[in-house]
Amino acid sequence: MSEKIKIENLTKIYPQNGRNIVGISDINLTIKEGEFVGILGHSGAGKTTLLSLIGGLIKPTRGRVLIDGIDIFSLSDEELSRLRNEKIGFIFQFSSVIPTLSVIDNVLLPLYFAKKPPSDYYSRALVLLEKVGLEGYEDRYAYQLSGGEQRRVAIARAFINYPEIILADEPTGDLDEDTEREIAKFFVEMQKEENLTFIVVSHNPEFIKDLCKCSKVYFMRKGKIYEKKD
Amino acid sequence: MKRRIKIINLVLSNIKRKYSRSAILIVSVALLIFMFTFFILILATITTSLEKFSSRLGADVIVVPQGAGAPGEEFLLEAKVRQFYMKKDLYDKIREFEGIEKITYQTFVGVLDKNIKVIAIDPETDFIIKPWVENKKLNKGEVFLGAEAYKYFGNIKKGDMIKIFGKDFKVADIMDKTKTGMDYSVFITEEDMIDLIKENPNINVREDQISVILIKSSQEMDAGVLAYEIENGYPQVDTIYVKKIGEKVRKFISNMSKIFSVVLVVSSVLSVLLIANIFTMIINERRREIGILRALGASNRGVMKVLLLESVFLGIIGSSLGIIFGLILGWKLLSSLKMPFIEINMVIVSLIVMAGIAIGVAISGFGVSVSLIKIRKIEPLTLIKGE
Ligand SMILES: Nc1ncnc2c1ncn2[C@@H]1O[C@H](COP(=O)(O)OP(=O)(O)OP(=O)(O)O)[C@@H](O)[C@H]1O
Ligand SMILES: [Mg+2]
Repeated sequence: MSEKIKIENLTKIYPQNGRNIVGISDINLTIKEGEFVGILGHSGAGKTTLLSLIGGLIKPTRGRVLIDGIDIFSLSDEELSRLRNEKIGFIFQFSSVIPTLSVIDNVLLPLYFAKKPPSDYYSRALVLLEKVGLEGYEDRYAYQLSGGEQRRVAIARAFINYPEIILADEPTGDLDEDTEREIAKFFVEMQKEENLTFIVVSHNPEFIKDLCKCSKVYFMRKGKIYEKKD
Repeated sequence: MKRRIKIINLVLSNIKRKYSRSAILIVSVALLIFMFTFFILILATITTSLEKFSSRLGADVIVVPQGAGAPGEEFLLEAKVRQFYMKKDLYDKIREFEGIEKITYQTFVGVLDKNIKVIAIDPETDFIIKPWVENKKLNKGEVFLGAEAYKYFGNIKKGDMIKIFGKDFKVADIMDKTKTGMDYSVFITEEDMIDLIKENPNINVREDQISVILIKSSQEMDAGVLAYEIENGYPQVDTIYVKKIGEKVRKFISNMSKIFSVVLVVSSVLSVLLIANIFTMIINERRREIGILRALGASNRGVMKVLLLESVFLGIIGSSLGIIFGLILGWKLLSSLKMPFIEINMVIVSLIVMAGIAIGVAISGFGVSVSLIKIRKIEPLTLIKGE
């Protein structure tokens, strides 16, 4: 298995009113292709910061992130955007659907910016919606959905572009237990079927260990990351 | 049914869903373009129409009785009835001036209903009416009818008989539209006028009177100089130098231009500020959305493309509305001036349409670009978190 993501001395410091707040500090980590990684940690530990750095959504203070051997922060805006568009599927901790668009357009949204969208995009979108329990929702507007339904639209969207990497930040934060279980099942299935390099973040150990059965589990604390072996 | 993943669909559904936001933008662009269209149409139409007027008239110097300069102009330019006379022997004297190529005179006989004037001409020397009537000479007992005056007599045609002041006349020809006071006139011969004076006590012009002398200066002669010399030589007359005609209208235009430039500058500044503000508001409101697009793989250019397309689309709608209303109201105002010489010029209209759309699109495109520059440096995560 090849190294899909390599993180070297990665540090993010947020300047805030003259004080420096440490997001993550000096993290080294290698994630192999097809690995299903779970990251646990309390609020403020740096989980979102780490995931955002891996996806190039923020710039590091120090260190590098290599995806398939390419230092993503050496890329131009166009190149980095393209990498995100083609290789990465994001599930954000924050609400991330566009309320004025229909459910199907929200799912298809990454493809609007793709160089060449997959030919089966429409049927794939419908299948993904069905798998997250939103069959028949495609023509409703996103603002007409509940918070949990919007979250599931965002989950379906992360897979539309046949990504190689999924970065899921608290993907089930506002879902009930049954739905959480469904989503975990969907993740496991997708990860296997499409050999995804999958990183899922949660504060809930049960979700990471029992439901997602992550092959590797890390624990974050005060900007540092530790491998959890038990 | 397969959904097309084209950016334009994204743009359209955004516009459709956020209709109040779209409407505000459309209206503010429309307002600016409306003012632009309205004023430019009026100014440019009057200016170019006046230029054409002198060539339509055929004469470049007009002699009227002293003090009748202004009413003389109104007589020529507008559909108004103006009555003034001078001695006919002045014509014989002025004819002797150097530098005259053609000279003729006309006499105001009276008025039919609805501002239709009856004017006597001298068929031997006439060069004013001639170009508009297929080169026919007017004979005794015949009339030429102006393009508007002819409507007054109802459904008639060439060769029909009509009655003027109780006397029968044969319609020798119906004139082409001249867009001058001639359109509202009926032309008879001087001989018939003399008959009418004898038969009809209501006509108060005398045989030895004329109203205007119309002159075409020769090539070597400057019409302005000729007008000046005639006026100097004969204190009983005033001259109108046709190129300078419409002083009243020109003054109106130059005043309008001043007001216009002030209004346009002030309103453009205000609308640009307003539009820039709306865009900044929109962009701020959409920071989260832009962050999401960036995270999903839209480059800064991709985001710009979406927002530019959207604003260009709204700009086109806004400026089209502004142009339509500007043209309609501008034309209403121009027609209310009741000046037959005013003529819509399609070149001007098309220039206004193109310039209006260009300005509308440029302003909305500029507005969105400026407000985007501020946020393109912000990291996508920050935008999504909505800080
Ligand atoms: N934009 C920012 N400016 C200043 N400090 C920030 C910013 N974003 C995050 N931080 C700080 O960085 C640290 C790590 O934040 P991060 O969002 O990565 O935590 P997290 O593990 O995702 O927490 P949670 O489980 O609550 O989402 C926190 O102390 C946070 O206060
Ligand atoms: Mg977080």
